[in-house]
Amino acid sequence: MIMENETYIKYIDYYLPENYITVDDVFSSLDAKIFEEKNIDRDIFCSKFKKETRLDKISVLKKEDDLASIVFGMVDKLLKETRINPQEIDYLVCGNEVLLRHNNASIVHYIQKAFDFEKSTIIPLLQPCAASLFAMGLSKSLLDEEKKNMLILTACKWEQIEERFIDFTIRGDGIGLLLVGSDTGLLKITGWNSCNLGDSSYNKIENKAQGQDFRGGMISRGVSFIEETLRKFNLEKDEIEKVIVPNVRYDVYYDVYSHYLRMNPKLFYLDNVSNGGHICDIDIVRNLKDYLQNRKETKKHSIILYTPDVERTFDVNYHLVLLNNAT
Amino acid sequence: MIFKSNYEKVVISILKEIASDENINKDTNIQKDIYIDSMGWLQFLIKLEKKLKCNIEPNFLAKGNYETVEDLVNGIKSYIDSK
Repeated sequence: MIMENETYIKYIDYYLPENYITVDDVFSSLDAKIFEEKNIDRDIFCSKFKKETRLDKISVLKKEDDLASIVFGMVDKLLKETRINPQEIDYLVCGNEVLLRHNNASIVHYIQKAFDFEKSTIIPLLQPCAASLFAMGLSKSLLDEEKKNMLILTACKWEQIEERFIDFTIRGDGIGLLLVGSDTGLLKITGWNSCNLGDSSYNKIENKAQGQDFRGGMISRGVSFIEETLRKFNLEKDEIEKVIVPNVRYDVYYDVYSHYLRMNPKLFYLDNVSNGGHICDIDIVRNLKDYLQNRKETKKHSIILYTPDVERTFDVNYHLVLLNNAT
Repeated sequence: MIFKSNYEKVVISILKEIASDENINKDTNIQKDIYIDSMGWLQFLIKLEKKLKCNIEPNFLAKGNYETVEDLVNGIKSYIDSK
């Protein structure tokens, strides 16, 4: 059995570009073929999509924005605000390929060198929509009295407008930064659970038929994963203060997950859906930070972070983190 | 007992609402004549559960191959009758 240590979120920050495009801008740039194949008029599709998803503005980095210098500024701010010694950063986790391959350079290696995190080990966790949650989970095994701190860096930047529309949602740009430590912090990472759904690749390699309704199966597995995890954590639904989810679309959590989980739809944090688009796991970092900033006093102290990470192959990685007030 | 005609009426009315298409009838080809995305189909199942007061698993549609609305009505009727 793996020994689990107490770890805490010590610092949360995110960068959301002020520059944005609208959902209409994205759809008007797409090839007409996409709508012909769907057998639907572009304008009708766009208006249905906006109504159902409630997505509106999509945050986009400008061409001249330098990702490396924005990340540098965020890490610099973290070091100043937390006054942490760079020698005490033991792990540097990065959650997206863009941080390893940006203009033929690796931003995460640059950050390690620039801030003299010479004792840190770089860990790439290439599950972009779930890497922060994955890292929080790993912190419970990796951090202890000797190895004290983990910096979690995650970023999203899409070059082409066509890359932004992925049928289910529209992707935006942004950066997330977390510091997790084993001494003390804002919130205690009480538990982590994950599971992987590899039906898509298994069926492809074994020449088996793919299910017709990928999304239904994916949500069904997500619902049972959440139920199993709550049982594992001995957590009743009425003990949950908030469920922080990605900003993929409004209806999937408000209507669908809440229905199958038999949970109050208002438990899901959906305040940021209209502004930003889906920005990988930066959504979770951003939503958690914004929720904590506006949090009212409550008797319930359990916050859940939940996200499915869908691979290009349509395999799915589910992660759930349970947070409690640090006492 | 719910008759097939009642299932048909309920299914068509929900499909019309979700697809925003008043022309849907029992002969409509689900794959070719209407556009409902994966989220739309999940909303369809949830509305169906509420109207028929029953439980339908979210991956129900993945388990069958429905070409027309009538095929779907028959599939739903057999599913609910078997429970």
